[in-house]
Amino acid sequence: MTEEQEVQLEAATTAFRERDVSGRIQSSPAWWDLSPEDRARLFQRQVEARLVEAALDPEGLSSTARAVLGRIG
Amino acid sequence: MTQADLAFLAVRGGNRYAFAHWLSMVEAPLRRSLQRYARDLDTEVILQETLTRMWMICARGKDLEGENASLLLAFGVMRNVRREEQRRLKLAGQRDGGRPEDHPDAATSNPAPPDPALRRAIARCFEKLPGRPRKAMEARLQGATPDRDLAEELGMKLNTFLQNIVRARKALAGCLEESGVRLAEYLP
Repeated sequence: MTEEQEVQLEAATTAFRERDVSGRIQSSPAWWDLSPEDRARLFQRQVEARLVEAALDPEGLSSTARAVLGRIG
Repeated sequence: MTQADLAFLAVRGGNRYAFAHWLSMVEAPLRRSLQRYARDLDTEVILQETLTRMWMICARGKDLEGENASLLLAFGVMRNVRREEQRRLKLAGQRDGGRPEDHPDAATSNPAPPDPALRRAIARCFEKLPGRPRKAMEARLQGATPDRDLAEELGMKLNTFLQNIVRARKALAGCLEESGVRLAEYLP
């Protein structure tokens, strides 16, 4: 992959997702820009990324879990 | 009853700490089951919406029956979330998933937090990362902040921030490999 492709993939790897005015969670704009093949690569990257994040977190929580906990308050 | 089920039952009444513990065990098997939909759906959206709904269900108090019942319940909720998203995006119906019989591994898996040896190895390699890539990756751990805000806090342009995370991932993977740790072996 080129560095530009890597950066595109990384932009969608984040657990942050916008919400619309009704509170519905939205797909990442970066995700929409990816080809189906790159979305499959993204999935693998997210699996690895969340494993690393959970390993680094004192409570074993990934950024996805942190985002959900932030949502529920 | 699994550790995850015990944590789930402890959430009753709104125990956020117990819910966090439950999340640490069930996220990986739930995410893994979404692989077949990754080309058509933003699986991060499906997973976060599922986990948010599970908070409401278990905080209200929900009895569990059978082994791995909380995980199987979450699979069912995730199936509904995924179908709603497919309808919203007007996607044709795909292979089903979410029912217990669609996830034979769910009935036998024992959801667990990350392996302690892996945690130590990753922590060692993380400490060795160069400053800016490490700071960028560390900033991402909190989960609920847009990258553009994290980049700004670190005094980086968004593209530079993302490049630093890419570098951090590569360096971390290289360090783990040198230490004889193959991340792939720990993937769910």
